[in-house]
Amino acid sequence: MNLDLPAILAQTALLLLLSPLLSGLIKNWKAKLQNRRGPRIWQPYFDIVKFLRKDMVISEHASWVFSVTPYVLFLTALAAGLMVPLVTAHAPMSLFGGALALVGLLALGRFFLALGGLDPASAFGGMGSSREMTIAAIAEPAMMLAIFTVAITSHSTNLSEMVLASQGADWKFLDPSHALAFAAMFIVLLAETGRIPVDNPATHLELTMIHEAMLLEYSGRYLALIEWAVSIKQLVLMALLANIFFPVGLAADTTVAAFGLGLFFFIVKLLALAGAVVWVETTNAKLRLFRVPGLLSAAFILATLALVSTFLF
Amino acid sequence: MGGLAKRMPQTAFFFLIGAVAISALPPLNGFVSEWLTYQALLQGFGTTESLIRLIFPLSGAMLALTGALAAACFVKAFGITFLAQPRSEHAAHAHEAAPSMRIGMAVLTVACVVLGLFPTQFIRLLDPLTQQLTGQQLSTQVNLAGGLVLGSLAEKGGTVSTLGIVLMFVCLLPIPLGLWLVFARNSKTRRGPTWDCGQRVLTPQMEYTATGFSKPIRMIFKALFRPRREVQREYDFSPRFATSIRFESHVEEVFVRRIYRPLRILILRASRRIRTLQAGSIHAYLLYIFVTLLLLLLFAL
Repeated sequence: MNLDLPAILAQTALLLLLSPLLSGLIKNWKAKLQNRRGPRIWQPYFDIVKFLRKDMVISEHASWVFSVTPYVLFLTALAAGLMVPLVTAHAPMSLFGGALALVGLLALGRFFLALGGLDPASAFGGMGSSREMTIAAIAEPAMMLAIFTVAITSHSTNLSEMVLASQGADWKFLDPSHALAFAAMFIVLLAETGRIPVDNPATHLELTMIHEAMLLEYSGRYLALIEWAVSIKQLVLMALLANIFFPVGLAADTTVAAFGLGLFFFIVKLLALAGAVVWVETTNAKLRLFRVPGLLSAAFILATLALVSTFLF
Repeated sequence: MGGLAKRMPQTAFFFLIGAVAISALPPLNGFVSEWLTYQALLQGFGTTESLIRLIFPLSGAMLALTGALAAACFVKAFGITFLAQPRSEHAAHAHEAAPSMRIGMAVLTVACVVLGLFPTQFIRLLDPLTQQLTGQQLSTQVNLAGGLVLGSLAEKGGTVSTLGIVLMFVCLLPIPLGLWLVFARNSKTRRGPTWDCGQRVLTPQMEYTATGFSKPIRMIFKALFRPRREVQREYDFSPRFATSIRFESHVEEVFVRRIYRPLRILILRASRRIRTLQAGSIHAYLLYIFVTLLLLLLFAL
């Protein structure tokens, strides 16, 4: 068992520092595309620091579960992030878990967040939890099938092995199974990060919010932790998509130049994905809740087609 | 129910651990079982060349659906029972059960945690079985890094370590705690009412109920559940001002109606026919024995 301590520290720092920037960037680009000026891309950092300094108000109805939730969410997001290859093909913690553990850790965070939404006895929180768990239940099969498709071609559930396999000679840019699995995963990404066809991250209107409804009673440093965890989760899922389906420019050796190039390519890939998310968010309207299953079934069918096409091509 | 987490903290904790375990979430035993099942499905895919092998990944997807639905179910079960305001007078006056009853739950909780964190130690117990069936020891193949990491049977097929995940949590915990020290040293925490849209009348009746919580799932799978509802309203001059209202909601038990009930009817009908054989007459029984004997002799010849 060899754990590379500098790599772990570097990846943790990268996850912590890059994730608010990605959220800020998406918000800023979205505003630009809608002819608004929008907040600075650094705004999420200021928000987190502001929330950390603020006093906290905890609902008198809430129990200890409410206070445990922010920690669980933050730790699961970070732990999941350490299993994903970011700049190099070797994720520092890939020994402790791969794609299945990643899905499980994110589900654990969601489980606690849904409980935290129910705890303060508010109807909004209950509504958010109920919808979040429902959408997760129908998004999960599509996600798992897409992961399975990639795992079958790479003969591994280890994310580093998956990336190495798709980096190898088999990888074709428009391999049908990869392209279809990517499309399925992209829809799941929109659902999991609460993006527009599924959820609207900018709304606090009672009847439309899903994710925000669960956070309504959080304030101060707990809110900071949750907001940060959510942006880390977004970064992790985007990195997963970017590196599994486009394994270009990952650092092959441990020289500074290779790392620099790897970081550059990583950021370019993230920017492209963020651009795609912004484009989808701006050109689409939020779907009615009971239309969302249709969208996620489409993701499931795409993943099934991806699976079938591994035979045909 | 509701609000029991404050009144019965120990029971709530045991129930929560059990709920996390059964929803197949890391790092507990349910997750380990699910991980092994997924690995087996991936291995199964490689065993045959025919199209039949599509069944493996598709059943993996169905397993994911089951896991996520279990999570939704246990968020509901825990959330509605233990969290928020008490929804009934009895729940408001609940208290912990006797220690002897709590010990039972504690034992099961410890079993969930131990099985979850040290799965490799228990896989060793299965060795005699796999030795008999396949001639190979399972534990030597899936135990890596001195039993800390659970591996797949295939070379580089994937690894997982629930203990490692817990260690990661412990090592990462100083990050939020450090943030408190740096930024939040002077911030205070106080208790306040839950936001109720300024009406100052937040009652337990406004909380989500178990039926309400699972409504989206019922609606999505309505082809399966066929939910029906019945609303009776009594009013004096306009239906908008009801004096009394009665609401009923039913879910059809598909599996009971389509599988178990026809099967039961079939079995009962068949046994009714067979019953005529057992008429209570000893002559008839002697005849059966004689006929059986004859038939057996004929077969033997």
